Amino acid sequence: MPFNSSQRGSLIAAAAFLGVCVVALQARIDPLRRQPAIEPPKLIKVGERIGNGTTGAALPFEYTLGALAGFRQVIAGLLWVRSDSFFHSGNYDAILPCIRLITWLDPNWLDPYATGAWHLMYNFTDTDQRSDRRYLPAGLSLLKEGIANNSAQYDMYKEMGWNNYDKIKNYPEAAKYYALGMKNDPKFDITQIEHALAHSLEKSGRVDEAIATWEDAVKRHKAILDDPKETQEAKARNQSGYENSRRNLAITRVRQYHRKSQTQPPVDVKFTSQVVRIRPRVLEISGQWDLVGSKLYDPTDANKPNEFGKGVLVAGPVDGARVDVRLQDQGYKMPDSSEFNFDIDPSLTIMQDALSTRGGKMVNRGGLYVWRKDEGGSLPKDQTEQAIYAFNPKDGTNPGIPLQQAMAGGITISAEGQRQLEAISKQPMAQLKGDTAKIAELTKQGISVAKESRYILGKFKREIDMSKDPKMYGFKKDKYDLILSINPAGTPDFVQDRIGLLGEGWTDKRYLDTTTVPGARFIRQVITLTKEDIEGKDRKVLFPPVTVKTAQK
Amino acid sequence: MSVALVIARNTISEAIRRKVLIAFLMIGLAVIGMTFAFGQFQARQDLTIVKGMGLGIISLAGILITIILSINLLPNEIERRTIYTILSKPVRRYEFLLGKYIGALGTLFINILAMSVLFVIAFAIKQAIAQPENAINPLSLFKATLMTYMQLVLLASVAVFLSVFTTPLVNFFLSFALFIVGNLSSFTQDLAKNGANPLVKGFFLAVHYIVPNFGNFNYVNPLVNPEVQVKSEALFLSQNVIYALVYAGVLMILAILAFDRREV
Amino acid sequence: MPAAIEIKNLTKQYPVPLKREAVNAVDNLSLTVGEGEIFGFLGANGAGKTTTIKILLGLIYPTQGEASVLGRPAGDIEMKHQVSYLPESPYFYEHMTAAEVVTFYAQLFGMKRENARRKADELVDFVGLGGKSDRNKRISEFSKGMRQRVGIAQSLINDPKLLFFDEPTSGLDAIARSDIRDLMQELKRQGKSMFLSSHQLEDVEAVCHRVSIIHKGKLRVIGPVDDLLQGEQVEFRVAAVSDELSNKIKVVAPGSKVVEGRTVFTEKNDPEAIAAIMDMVRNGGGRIEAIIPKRRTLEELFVEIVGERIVIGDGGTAFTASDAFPSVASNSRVDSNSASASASDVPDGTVAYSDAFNRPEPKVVETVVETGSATEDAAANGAAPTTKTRRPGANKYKELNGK
Repeated sequence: MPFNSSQRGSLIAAAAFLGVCVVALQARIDPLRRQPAIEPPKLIKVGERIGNGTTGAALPFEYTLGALAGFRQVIAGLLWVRSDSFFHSGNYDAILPCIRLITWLDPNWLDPYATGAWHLMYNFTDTDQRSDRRYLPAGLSLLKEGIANNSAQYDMYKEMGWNNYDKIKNYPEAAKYYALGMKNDPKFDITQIEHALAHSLEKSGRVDEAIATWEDAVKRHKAILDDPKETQEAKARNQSGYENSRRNLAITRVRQYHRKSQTQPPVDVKFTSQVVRIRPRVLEISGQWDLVGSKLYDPTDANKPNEFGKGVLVAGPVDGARVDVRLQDQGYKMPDSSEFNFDIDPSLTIMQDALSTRGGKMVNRGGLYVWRKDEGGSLPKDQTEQAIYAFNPKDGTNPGIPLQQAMAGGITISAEGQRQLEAISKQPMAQLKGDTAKIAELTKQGISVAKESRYILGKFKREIDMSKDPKMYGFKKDKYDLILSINPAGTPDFVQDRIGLLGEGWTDKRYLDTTTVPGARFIRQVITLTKEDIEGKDRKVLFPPVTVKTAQK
Repeated sequence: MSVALVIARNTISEAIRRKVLIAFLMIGLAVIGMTFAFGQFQARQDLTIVKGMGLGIISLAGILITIILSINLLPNEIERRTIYTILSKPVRRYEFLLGKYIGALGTLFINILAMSVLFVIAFAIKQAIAQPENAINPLSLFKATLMTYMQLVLLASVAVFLSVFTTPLVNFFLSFALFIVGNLSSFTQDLAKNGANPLVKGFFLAVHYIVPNFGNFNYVNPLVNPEVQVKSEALFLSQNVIYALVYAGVLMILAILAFDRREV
Repeated sequence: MPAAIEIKNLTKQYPVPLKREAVNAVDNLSLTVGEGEIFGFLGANGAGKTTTIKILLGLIYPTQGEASVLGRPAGDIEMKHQVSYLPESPYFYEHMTAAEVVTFYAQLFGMKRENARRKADELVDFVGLGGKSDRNKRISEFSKGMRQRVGIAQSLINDPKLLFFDEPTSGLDAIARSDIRDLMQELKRQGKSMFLSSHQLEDVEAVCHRVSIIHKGKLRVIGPVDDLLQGEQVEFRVAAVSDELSNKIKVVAPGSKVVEGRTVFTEKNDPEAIAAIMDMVRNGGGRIEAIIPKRRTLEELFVEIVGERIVIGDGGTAFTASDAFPSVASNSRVDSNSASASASDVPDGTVAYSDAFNRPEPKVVETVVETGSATEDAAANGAAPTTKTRRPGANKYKELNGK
């Protein structure tokens, strides 16, 4: 028997009441559900195209449907597996749309941001492994999205910090993100975040803050080591962090103490350069600069951080400092975007390389050096640490006096040389004088005393071939800036020991630049090149301008 | 009501023997197994993918099983004329309908439980070996599968309700379409919020509140990305359970009313 | 005698999609079935038999009219405790054994599982499926006849007062049919009421007290089996017939034959005519050896009323065969010799015999031959409307074949 009308009426009333409950419930659920931790905010639209040209793609229909039906993580996982296979086949272009879609589908998944940014910042290269820097803004914007979507976790700040530190070499920016990571995520990794923050602060010239950060890191590591509730695994990890932070704290203090005096007066680096077009789109860039007089401090005992007077060595080599070379459309500034878009401007040309400076040496009258007849001047490791140079003059003759001969009399060994000798022989000068065996042994190793002060400038030279990558180096514009620059904060520690973190220990009559980064003293030379300069056929010296002399007979 | 339970038990015993459902279950289990084959990633990525895929596959297999099971609950009985022998016994129509529905829920429970348990065990082993820094309690994965189950409870009620007056084929597409629209409810909510035209606003508001909000139940993100902080998790989950039960209740009352008048 | 079933002016209409008028699957049907009566409900496929049963069981609802079963309204839940239904070609859950199926149905009566199982075992034995090999078989391994037995077993769970059997022997082989018929006889002996819908006329003839014929939803004839089959003709067997007498007989009965030296012919079962013939034979020197009242078969009656032959086969195919593929149907029985009924002047076409001995002159019935007779199926499917042609049955096939 079917329901009678009153039964039907009650059932309809019950359904209506429950229906109202449903609406009320949904209104309560909505705000909870819409929290980004539960539901990713970006909705994928059917057929929405991302990117353009060769890198463009749209999510296939079935993927879109899957994403709409609540399978975002499944689709994201599938795309990730695919992009991994693209990576292994070297098809980086295909990875980018995947990354774009994955980070929409699952914005809380951190690996795609980090990996995507790594691809963008490092893996797009020309045939000579130079990064395609047109992708840097995209990499940064991807990380910015990652931070926006995961602001309560340190991971994305860490990635952003590292890319600024290592790739862009924008240390203040790196410090900013590391600090944000510490601030926003109480569970930050001390080594990955706080140590990196200290390094970034130091390289930004904020040494006091760097020291305070190291002190804080030491305290944090110690607290974990002393906490009985912490696991053995955590303690083991923190043990090395603790030791490193103590050591770095000591080094930073030593540097802060000594650099104040040792970086003065500023050394004139006498930067010169030459730019030669070898073939169309192939430039040879060379030059030299004087960085002799740099000094190294070596606090050998990390447990006695304040005894930094011991083991101080002077007059180190400049090898390892790099000259950044950048060729780009005139007036180009890296755009800043907070929304990830991997499209690049195909008409834009940016080439950046870093040229190592090698061969800079200086020995003062009465100082020590090692004479090597046959070898190219490299010393055993322990002697390098003593900062004793090897000379290997072209004519094969020793320009100085062998140690034995010098010790026998007549030659004054400078104070600096005496210190080196004490360090190398591990005995005081007075004692060494009677130790003929030791003197003979050191002489056998090639230790000599200089008769005069000698300088060899550090040189850099590289042929930069941009002809093999026309897609990356389009040269569509008429004018280009060729920028040769040295960032003092980017130089090795032993160079900074002489020139200071911010370049306070150097100067250059022509190319000192104090405007690019306020507060820092860069060496920066900008040469304007035309399209013709770069693409012209024959070998030609583009800089310095050649003054044609009339032949005189 | 005991009659409904007799019918429910019978429905389960029949459904778990249906080849198509067993096939989906087996495919689900197989694919869950396959997700563990990814070896090329770091442990942390690997587990992220495994969690996302595994939970997704449980959900997908569950949806297919639910729809195929539910759209045929009534039509099968009618087509095979078993409904005549049953309804000519002292069985009220609502008892029959509820019995079939409860049977479907039981069948789904068995399916989801089988897949979840297997997945959780496999995941626990994998995680124990990999030891990633963002390890989770493997049992917490049941939160997601519970939500999936509640989603299916609601989906089954939609399909059963529609099966009272549509053919299985029409029902299949309708249920799927409603499932998609219901998953898009955040989208419709935004359209309602941002719409300029009051008519459009009203329409999307109605869609948002009236269409079953299947999207409520996608509780995968906090498990796949355990670093995220979920506010009021317990409240959210329990409200979702209540939502599914109440909404399914509404649909079953409507289904009972429609089925009561329906000629079989 | 209280009524087991009482139907008054029952009409069931199905709307035809895109058409205004509906199709009447059951049309103003009235009948009463007494308690303890085995009532045959005959009709071609689609005549409205199953529709009527479904209405009585509350599976569908009438458009008009009333029906009560065991004194309670159709579909009443209390009533269902006392009736049972065996649908045509019943299907059971294939994965179960016979006993499991019957147990399941028993539980629907609220029986405890244990009791239900015990009862099921009894019934499975009763219908002859209690053998060791059958007991463990799943339904999926059962033959059609075995399934039908399961159907009967489930219909007996509640020891019903009234059974609705819909085409219980349809599609069965001869042995299975005979077994089912025996079972029905047994139920008859037990005094059950039964509403037996069938077009297997032998079954009906064998077990029913009364039969009715329904055609296109309308009740066409109803009465005790014997009465309905009472002949309208008598057969004369005359010996010692002279040539002269033979010629005389040929004038009266042109179809007379000589069988074993006796002249055999039939004549109207009319006392005056019989007397006249007897006189003629006696006067002609013949000797009347026998005057045999000739009993009609139910089939003949059915054909007279419905205007179609019954096609043996199960419900669905019979309908298809006679309507969609008439040539097949006609091939199955070509000797249509009895489409002789004349159009009736009784408006509703129903002839009711209330009493076998005091019946009016049988006015047999309008014969309407239709192509594509209105069936539930046809109505539900929105089939083309029927075209009425008043033609005797034999020509029907020609007509259809000619299309």
